[in-house]
Amino acid sequence: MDEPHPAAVRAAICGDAAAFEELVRLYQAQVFRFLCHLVADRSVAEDLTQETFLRAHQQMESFRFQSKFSTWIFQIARNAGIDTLRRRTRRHRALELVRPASSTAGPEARSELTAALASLPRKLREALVVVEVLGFTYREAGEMLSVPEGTVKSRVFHARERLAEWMADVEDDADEM
Amino acid sequence: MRCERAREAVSASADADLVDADAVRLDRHLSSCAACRSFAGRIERIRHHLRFEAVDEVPDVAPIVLASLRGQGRDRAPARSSRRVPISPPRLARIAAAFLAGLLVGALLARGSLDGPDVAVAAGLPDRVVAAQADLDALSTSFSLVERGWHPDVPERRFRATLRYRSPESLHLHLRDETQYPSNAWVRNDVALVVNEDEWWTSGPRNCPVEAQPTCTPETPRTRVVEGREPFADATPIPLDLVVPVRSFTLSAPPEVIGDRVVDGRETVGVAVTAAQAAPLLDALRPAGNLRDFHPADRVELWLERETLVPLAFRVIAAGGSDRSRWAASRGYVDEPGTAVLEVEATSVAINRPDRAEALPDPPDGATRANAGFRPGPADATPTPRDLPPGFVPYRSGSVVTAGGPRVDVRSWTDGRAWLTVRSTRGWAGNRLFGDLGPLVRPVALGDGIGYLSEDGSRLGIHAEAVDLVLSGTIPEQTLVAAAASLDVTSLSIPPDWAEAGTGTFADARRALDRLLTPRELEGFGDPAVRVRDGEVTMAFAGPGSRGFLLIQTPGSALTPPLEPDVRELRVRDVPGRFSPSRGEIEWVETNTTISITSATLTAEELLAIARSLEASP
Repeated sequence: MDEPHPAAVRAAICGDAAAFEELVRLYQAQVFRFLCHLVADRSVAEDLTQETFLRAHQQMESFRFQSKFSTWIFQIARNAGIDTLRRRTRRHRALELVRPASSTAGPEARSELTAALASLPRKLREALVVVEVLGFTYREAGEMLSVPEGTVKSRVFHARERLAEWMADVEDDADEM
Repeated sequence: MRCERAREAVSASADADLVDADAVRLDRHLSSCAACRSFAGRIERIRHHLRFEAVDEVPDVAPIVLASLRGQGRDRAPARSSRRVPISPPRLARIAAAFLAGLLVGALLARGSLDGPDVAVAAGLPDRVVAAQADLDALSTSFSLVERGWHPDVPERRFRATLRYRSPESLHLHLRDETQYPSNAWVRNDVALVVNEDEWWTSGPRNCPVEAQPTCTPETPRTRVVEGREPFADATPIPLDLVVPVRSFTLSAPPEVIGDRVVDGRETVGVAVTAAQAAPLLDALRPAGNLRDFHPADRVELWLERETLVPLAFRVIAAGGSDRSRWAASRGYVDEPGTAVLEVEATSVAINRPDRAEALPDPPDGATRANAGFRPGPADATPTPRDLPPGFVPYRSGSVVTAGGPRVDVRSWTDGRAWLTVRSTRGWAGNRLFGDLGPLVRPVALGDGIGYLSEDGSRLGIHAEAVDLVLSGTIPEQTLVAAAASLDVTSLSIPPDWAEAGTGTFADARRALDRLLTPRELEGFGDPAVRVRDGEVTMAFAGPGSRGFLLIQTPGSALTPPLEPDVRELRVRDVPGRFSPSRGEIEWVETNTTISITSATLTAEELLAIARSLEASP
């Protein structure tokens, strides 16, 4: 994960709009991607990406350089996403696990894997996305998700285990055809 | 190295978190274990797919964010920023996390005292609400809506609204914003929701954060259209609690009765509940747009028409306390405790007059359209319950076919506003119950077989030979169980490797712990879902609306150090304990067991009341 130059962060804290814009452009794609996985809705993720940076701007003065800036910004994104998930009714949970009929080779498989990822419980999903997709370490992810490092490690493992089971089923189907 | 440990090591290795010695042992294991080699290969392919997934069209939010910030700088009055309470990101995170759980609590554990006639009214009301849904076929209302505290510069917003409903699945809700805004820069919160059986659409402004208003809201409303909607689909909900508040009163304790009123010439009975309990009703007003949020502990005074129990008026009154203040500050609200932050009142009402129903409007041109994949048809693969509730007649049926998903056959039945669906699929490979029942379920006997109820009893999953089913609806739990038991399928226990395999009974929980504590005389919650795993007993108690709590008991003599800096000490059951406001959790140690009660919406006092009610299970 790219980190901004500390001078750019300090300038943004001091109200430099150009510096803040630089931070938005540095992280907006990854924040959007993270939120797409978290809330499983592109249009909602777009709103939340916007909200993330508005919240970040409001709270810039509280950034104390005690963590990576990227960890801090994704923490805000996660909070925004969780607020939205909370609003959904309990019944309106993630997609039911899909069972693709094709192999995992092409772009279709990729979208199917994304759907399978969306079907994981949120805690497993967000841990895997933070570590696997965004490339944070367990320690950084633990800081972001407010859980111990060992919990992140365990959640990532269980998320991978479930996706691997799903992939094994798909491969078995492909073998039978 | 055993396979389970090897697979954990494969995962850690992928994240460069494996010490050398373990790496050597892993290599040795992989060289002799084909299954784990396959696992490692799949982990690598998953990584490749996810890291290099195509992200088509990432939106550029920078222009709108920066424009919003420029607008804030121009428009923000100095007094506004001084009123706001600064919130550090971790604190905001904790506040958000407290509301994440969603399933947790808000019980009226300590209700006001009731007098003679009110006791009878209150005692029977929840069941009457649930029963009333079958007699409601049409509703046409106009109502006024006043919202307060949404934005410091717009202390009050006023709306005129209409609701047209015809059972079972036709509804039009329209909110027209008549607020006098400070300038033309503010976008009106005009909202529409139309449900017409298999088509569903909403229109309203984007829900920008309060602090970014007014410049962040685009003038063009967002319109979403979903076609191919299956009957009573969760993802495209029809807000039936505006018609009769069934979900707000299913599992409810007798509510506090606050008196009688006449609304639009009709006699009503008034009851008071929490916003957590009335969440399905309050959420129904904001299918789109930017109406404000309400704190779960806010008081909701609700006036129900005496005969039909249609809600004709309600208001939300801001609760007090430091946690409530912090919640409001995190959203940019300035609420005085005790003030009404929402007032809704019907100005004209027609009940069961289908002739008053009007044609439903079509969605605006140019709206974004999506297809949910439902196609009408016979749904032959889904069995019909022999034991349907009286008065229920067949409604829509068909199949849902989506790219990459299993085919799901759906049948539904209705009576007035009440409904029941049975969904089935063959070839289910989810490694958990089909039908999104949630992580904690309750086993229930179905004749010689077994089914699994969701925490709130609104869904029942069945795993059977070659087919998996889920029943859901607005009917009482025992009626749902009877319908499930009458299906012509042989239900089975779930396989041991499914996610719900830890599901247990009280007997299992008692065997796991020498001294199991359970709440005594707990009104307003259903039977708990129980999970026993590695000696830890988890019980999930669901109530009406979004109420519920988790009770977790684990062998141990000490609490782990708290992660949150705002943890407070308190005494629980006469021993030292702690309360985490951000997680809505009290924890303590008692008789070599660590115990926690967690809720997103209960106050510390309510959590303590539950703790006090615990007693050792015989």
